[in-house]
Amino acid sequence: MSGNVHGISWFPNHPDKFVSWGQEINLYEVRSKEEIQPKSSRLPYIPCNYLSNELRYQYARCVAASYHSDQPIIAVGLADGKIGICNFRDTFDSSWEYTPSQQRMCTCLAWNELDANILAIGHDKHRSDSCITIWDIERGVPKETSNFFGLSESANSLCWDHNHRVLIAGMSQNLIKLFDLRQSNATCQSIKTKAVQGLAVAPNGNYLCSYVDSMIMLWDLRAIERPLRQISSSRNHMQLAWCPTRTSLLSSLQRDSPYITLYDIRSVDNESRPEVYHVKRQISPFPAKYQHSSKFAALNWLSWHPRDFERMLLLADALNILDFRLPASLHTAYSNRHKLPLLMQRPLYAAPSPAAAVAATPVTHTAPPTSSCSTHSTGSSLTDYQLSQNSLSFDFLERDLLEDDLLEETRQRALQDYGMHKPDNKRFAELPLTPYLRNVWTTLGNVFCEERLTGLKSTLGINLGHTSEALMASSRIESQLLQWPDGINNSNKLVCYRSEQRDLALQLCGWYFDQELDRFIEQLYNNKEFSRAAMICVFHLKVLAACNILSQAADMMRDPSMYRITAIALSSFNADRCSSTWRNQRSTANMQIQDPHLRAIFSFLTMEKDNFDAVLKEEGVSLADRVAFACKYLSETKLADYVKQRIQRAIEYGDLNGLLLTGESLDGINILQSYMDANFDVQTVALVAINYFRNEHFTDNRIQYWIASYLDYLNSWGLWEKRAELDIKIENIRASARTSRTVYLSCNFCGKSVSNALLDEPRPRSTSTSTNRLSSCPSCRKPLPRCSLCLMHMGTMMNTSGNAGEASTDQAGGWQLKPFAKWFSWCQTCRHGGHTEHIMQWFKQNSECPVSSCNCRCFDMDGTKLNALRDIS
Amino acid sequence: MVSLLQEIDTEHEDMVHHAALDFYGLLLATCSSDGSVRIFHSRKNNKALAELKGHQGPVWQVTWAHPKFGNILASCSYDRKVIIWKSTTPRDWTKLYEYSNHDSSVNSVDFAPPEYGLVLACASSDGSISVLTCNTEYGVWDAKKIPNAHTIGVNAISWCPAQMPDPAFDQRVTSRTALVKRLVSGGCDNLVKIWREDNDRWSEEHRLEAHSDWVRDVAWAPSIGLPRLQIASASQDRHVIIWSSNAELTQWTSCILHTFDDAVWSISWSTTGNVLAVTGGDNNVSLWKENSEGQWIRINYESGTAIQSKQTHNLHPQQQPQQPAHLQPSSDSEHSSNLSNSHLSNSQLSN
Repeated sequence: MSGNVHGISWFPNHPDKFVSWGQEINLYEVRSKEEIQPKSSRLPYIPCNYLSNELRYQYARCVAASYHSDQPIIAVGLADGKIGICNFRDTFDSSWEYTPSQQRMCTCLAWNELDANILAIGHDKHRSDSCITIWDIERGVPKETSNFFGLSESANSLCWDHNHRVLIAGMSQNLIKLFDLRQSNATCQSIKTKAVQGLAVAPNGNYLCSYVDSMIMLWDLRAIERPLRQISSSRNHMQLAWCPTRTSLLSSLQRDSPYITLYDIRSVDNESRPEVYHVKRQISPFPAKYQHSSKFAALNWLSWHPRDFERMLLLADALNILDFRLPASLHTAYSNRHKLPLLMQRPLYAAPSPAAAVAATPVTHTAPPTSSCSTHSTGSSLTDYQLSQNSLSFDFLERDLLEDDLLEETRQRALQDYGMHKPDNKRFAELPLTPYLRNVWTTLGNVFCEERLTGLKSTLGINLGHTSEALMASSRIESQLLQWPDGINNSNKLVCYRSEQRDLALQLCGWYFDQELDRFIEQLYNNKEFSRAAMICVFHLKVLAACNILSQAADMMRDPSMYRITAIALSSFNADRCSSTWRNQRSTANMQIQDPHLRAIFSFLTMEKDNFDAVLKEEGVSLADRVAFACKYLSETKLADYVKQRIQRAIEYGDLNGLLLTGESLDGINILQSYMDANFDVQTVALVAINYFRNEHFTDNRIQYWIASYLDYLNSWGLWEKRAELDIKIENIRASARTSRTVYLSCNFCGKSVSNALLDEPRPRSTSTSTNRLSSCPSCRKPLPRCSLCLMHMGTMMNTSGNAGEASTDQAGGWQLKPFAKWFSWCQTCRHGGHTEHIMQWFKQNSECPVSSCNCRCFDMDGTKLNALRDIS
Repeated sequence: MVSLLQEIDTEHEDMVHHAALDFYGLLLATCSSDGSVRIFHSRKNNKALAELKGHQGPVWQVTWAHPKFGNILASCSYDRKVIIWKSTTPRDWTKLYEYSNHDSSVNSVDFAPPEYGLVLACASSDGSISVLTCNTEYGVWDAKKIPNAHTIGVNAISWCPAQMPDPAFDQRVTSRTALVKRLVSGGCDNLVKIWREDNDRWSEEHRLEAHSDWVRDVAWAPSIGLPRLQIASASQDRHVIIWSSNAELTQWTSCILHTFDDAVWSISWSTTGNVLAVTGGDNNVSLWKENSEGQWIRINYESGTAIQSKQTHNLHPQQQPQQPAHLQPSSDSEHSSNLSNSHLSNSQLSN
């Protein structure tokens, strides 16, 4: 850095170049992100290349960048009134310098956009000279009188109007004058106001702003007589600027303030005249870490980027130049297809402003260092974008998280009737489930018996405390010394426990007893679960059988080495001789054996006396197998500890397999909850609850909430049928809490309920008697309506003989199921009706009511309008 | 990393302030400073289905009612009005009701959980909260006002989820009276207040003090079956605070989620997943999730634009290796990437 900087400005038609002035005038070019950065940068806070400088003019009073699109040209106004034009290339050229006849300070400069050679110059007051000069820089220094305005006045600020025909000047601290340069006698309008500083016209061309001290005045150029609005603030203003990419966003820098003040000017058409108001915002462009230090005390200058959306250069503390973009407006919105919110934001690319469109230079997108948001727009060609600044882009917030976001999968599963079938059903096998979930459902299916999900914990009588019941339970346990089979010398005797409960538990874990064990192993073998079959054999001390399985498996596998080696190792197993040497191997071997079941085999064979931890903590083996193993070999207290510990772990990790132990209990709900918390999978949780939590726990708030939110999801996807099926299932579970009827029949004459009488009848009643019973209202004895086609009374069955059997079975299920076709229905217009089936048949062929002399076109009354929602989706 | 899903040309003439998807995720409503609300298909990139004109100022927020009441949308605006729109088809919208009894800009609207019926809460800069209840049978709207809810103004409002499941779902829950309506609001007096309806009157139940600047957004977490409720509040003091209650909602404890680099503008809870999304003035959206120990962990890293925030966040140990190694601010350009922070200290409408 060299010396202080007083101001900075972008070049309107060179979007990557800017100029800074002060002690010296420097030209910079903003680097694009891809360029390799040189080691040292002249400006620490902005990646840019220094291009050149201009040494002739020092301590410039004011500098203006021109609209020339071929080269960067600036005008420099000096304290002695001299105006210099330079393009950073040519050496001194006397025609590009203008000195007024009377020496005094140059106050302001304004280039014309349409005719890039026209420069308006403002000077301080002099008795015998005019303060405003129009200079066409290609035509030499101004001499004609038509180029001079405002004799013995001072110019405070200058700007051109939107069409660049009218020069607006703040003069002599008390006037704003509008000079129409198309007319020769230039002064046309003037307004008296003290606010003559910082004139600028809004990008929409209608508003003019000016300030004095701490007051901003807004003017409407179409009706400039009165100020549109007056905005006061606590500090004095230093610089006003409109954001070129927004219609009416005014920025202000205030004295000794580190904030940019933004005024969003808006108008509301209120009755007769527009009401103008503004929304004020203050922004500090400094990073948070500097915000409370005194590193940046004040902002001195601001220059909006001519094209990039809400981008600006800022000068802080007279030496730091910052590139800053207003914080994007971000919204999040939730879609029912994703659990994570969608990010909505304005796409961050250059909005083609009218001026830029005229220039028609391709937008070289200099990736702003402030926003990596733009990365998604840089991917596609930027110049193709013709969308307005107000389009919204929908973004996935996070690709990685999205992959875990199972909502679409949940929807697919719902479509395929997930949770509506038992795990042994064929449809279940077709579901797109993870192996984990498939396993959980199978386990739950095993454990579920007698319409209850009784967990192993209660099956085993754990946690009943030292009640008599617990003692009773434990007293019935037989312990049994197991002998290793022949050929294996093992002095270690294994203690194996058996009891009624434990047998039941084993069964619930999917293991079988001695006699059926072989069949079970066979089944596993057929399912290609070789290592698991071998493991279970070994756990039953059938080492030879395990050898056989593994060697056979090795023949079938493509990569048999592991099985083969295990088989060899097992065949020569000798507990006494091997265990010590094996044990030494184990720790390293465990790391290398990939198959957890095989690992469990070795752990089991090499265990130290009564220490089964290595098997019990083998997470790769399913919990069911491990618990079964524990039931076989652990003593009562150890087993209880183990089960409790597993439950705790399941709750902690949200492992649904833990339901095997807890069953339908509060702990079970806790497991579901923590699974839900970890996986957001409300579907599985709700379906497990519906399928297996049927008793007192079903009314738990959490379960109800899960089910309600799952039903809500189904609703929001428009899967009404699936929801209805689930509703029926839930209703069936709660057969006790029967739904109250929603349809009532009342007599047309007396108004009393007919259906009450119908239902009060004792159920088991042969159909032949009930056919004749209700031909009249039970209270007033007036006849009930008849089917207008078969002339039978309402309440009579059609085809009574055929339906009798069905009806009775349905009623046994607690339902009065009569197919809808057998119901009565009426036309709501002519009040004629009959059995739905008959009516439907009638209207297939006829369009008028079946009752003779009635011309009602009953069937056409129901417009077959499609559901509005269907229409959308 | 953010990835583009879709882009919709809203054709709004000015800034878009809010966008909301309906219950079915099919329709998107956007609102803008140009005073209009527009309806789009969310999955087709096409022209607006409808443009709802009725407001004379910027429309700050839109919200959809539960579809069981029909296709109903509410919008609130700077012009002091709340308009409730109803449609028969997505293209035909009519004004169902217009509420203009606020004295200043209406900043936030929220429909109550459907269990309470068609009820809308509105928060206004005049410091009051209105609760509009529709008698769906007669289509009559009844308004109750909580005057002086927050001095200077109310910025955000959110309903307490219905704590009891829908009675239609379980007949055994007979006590419909157990449904107490509660609201949480945040305002310019730096307070978060919980309101409760007793005998048709709204009264202040709790006053939560912890923020040191304007509270910009409040959001009541959907109850996830835990015996407690949570509220998140975001403020210009750069804090997001999670308020947790005991089962009886008599005590609230606060926990600062995180101190952000900049003012926090809005927060929202996911529908079931217990994830909190925080968007702030630092051009960043962060997602937070509570782990089993009750600590809040940030679960996304590359969402927004500011890279530096990653270094300061309390990373989960397992996620540490995912952090790219080059993030240490070493070069000059790293500094400049930090410049997107801003401090918004005053955006009050000064009319």
